Amino acid sequence: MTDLHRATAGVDAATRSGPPHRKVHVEPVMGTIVSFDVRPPFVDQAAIEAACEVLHDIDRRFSLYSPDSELGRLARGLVAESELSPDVRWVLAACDELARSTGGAFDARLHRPDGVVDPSGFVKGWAVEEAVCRLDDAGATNCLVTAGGDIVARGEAAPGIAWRIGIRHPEQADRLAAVVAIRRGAVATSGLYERGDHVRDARTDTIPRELLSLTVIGPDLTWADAYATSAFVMGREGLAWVESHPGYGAIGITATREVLWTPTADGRRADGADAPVELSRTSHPDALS
Amino acid sequence: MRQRAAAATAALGLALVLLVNFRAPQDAALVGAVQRGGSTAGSGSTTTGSSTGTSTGTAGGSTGGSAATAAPAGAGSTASGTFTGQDIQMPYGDVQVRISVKNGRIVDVTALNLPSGGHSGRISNFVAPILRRQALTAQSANIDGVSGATYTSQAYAASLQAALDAAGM
Repeated sequence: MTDLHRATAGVDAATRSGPPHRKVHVEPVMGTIVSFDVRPPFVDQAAIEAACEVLHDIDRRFSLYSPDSELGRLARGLVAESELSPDVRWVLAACDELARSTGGAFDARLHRPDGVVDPSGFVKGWAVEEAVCRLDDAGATNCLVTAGGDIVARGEAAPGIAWRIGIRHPEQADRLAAVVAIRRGAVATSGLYERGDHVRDARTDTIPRELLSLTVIGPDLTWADAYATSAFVMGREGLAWVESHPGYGAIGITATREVLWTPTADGRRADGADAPVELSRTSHPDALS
Repeated sequence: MRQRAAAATAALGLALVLLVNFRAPQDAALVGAVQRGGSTAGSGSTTTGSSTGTSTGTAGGSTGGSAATAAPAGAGSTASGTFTGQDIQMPYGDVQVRISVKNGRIVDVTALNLPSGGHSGRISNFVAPILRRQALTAQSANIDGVSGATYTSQAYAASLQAALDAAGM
């Protein structure tokens, strides 16, 4: 990996070891972009395209922006839930189970004021996980797939070296509140900073305020993503709730700029994060991207 | 009626998403090399040109294409020139980064394209330098990915990485 700071500080490129081989592909899909970073052994472009097709296929069936998708047709009352494809019914059932286990903190049926069933908070993580499975099957044993800040990792960044994932500070886009090292697993973050107040507590119709962001680390992005959304709404108690799921841990950043780690997350902790004193400095409120 | 209301709400939701996602371009702090690259400021139209990475310079085997395969920098790599990363096409505009390299050292990072839009100008003054610092932070901490980052910053990092790969760095 190129070290830009050292490079600009005057260390000649010749004195540094070269970057690991990697193959990068960026795919616009699902209203975001998904980047694939494949390390050896490489797979051919067709395998990456097949993984992308998984994403496009799920997007076509689940997009609420497309009136003719399955969910679009459900929203328009043109089809009954029992007539939907098995995947869609499975997703809705998984969302219902989450609504139950979170006491309504995650609810695909109630969170929109217009009553439209909207499992998009669940679909993205699941879709990326499905795409990575396809890549995995093709033999890409070392890859990192990122979808708008949610990440799935397989294998290693380089022989003997785990993937290093930074957790963005919610208030200061250019600072890392935490760094974790993972091999096989997922990292998902929920917060209010990215697109304004897009997370709403359906139970109370309020915007959660206890945490600035909550990150979940665990084996599967499907659940890591959904747990992050749920636990962010729950606030501080959400951290313990995440930890109650075997294999899953959480990192919470509180409104008072504390960085809280559950034991499972702490087991993945790596160096490289900015010092807490750096994180407590208030930045400009528009420093979003 | 219900369908129409749902459609109207969806349209309003889309409009809101468009609004909050617009990030105006221009960065006074960045060297005066910011180009619009075809994005029409204010109208929110997106550039749909082909995705091409280009590079000019003296590094061997420069490739900045959409599927850049990086080669390790050979010992004694003294790349010089400008290297342009992949033009990442996002839902609300393109992101493209160019680096200037002198004797294997990066001397500048420039955003050639950032999503443009009619959103408040005061945000535009902050976005580009933040994206740049964000990418530099991740680079300096040897970070492979950032959780919680927006897709704009993800695109910026990907384009920067392609430029670095093109430079053989």
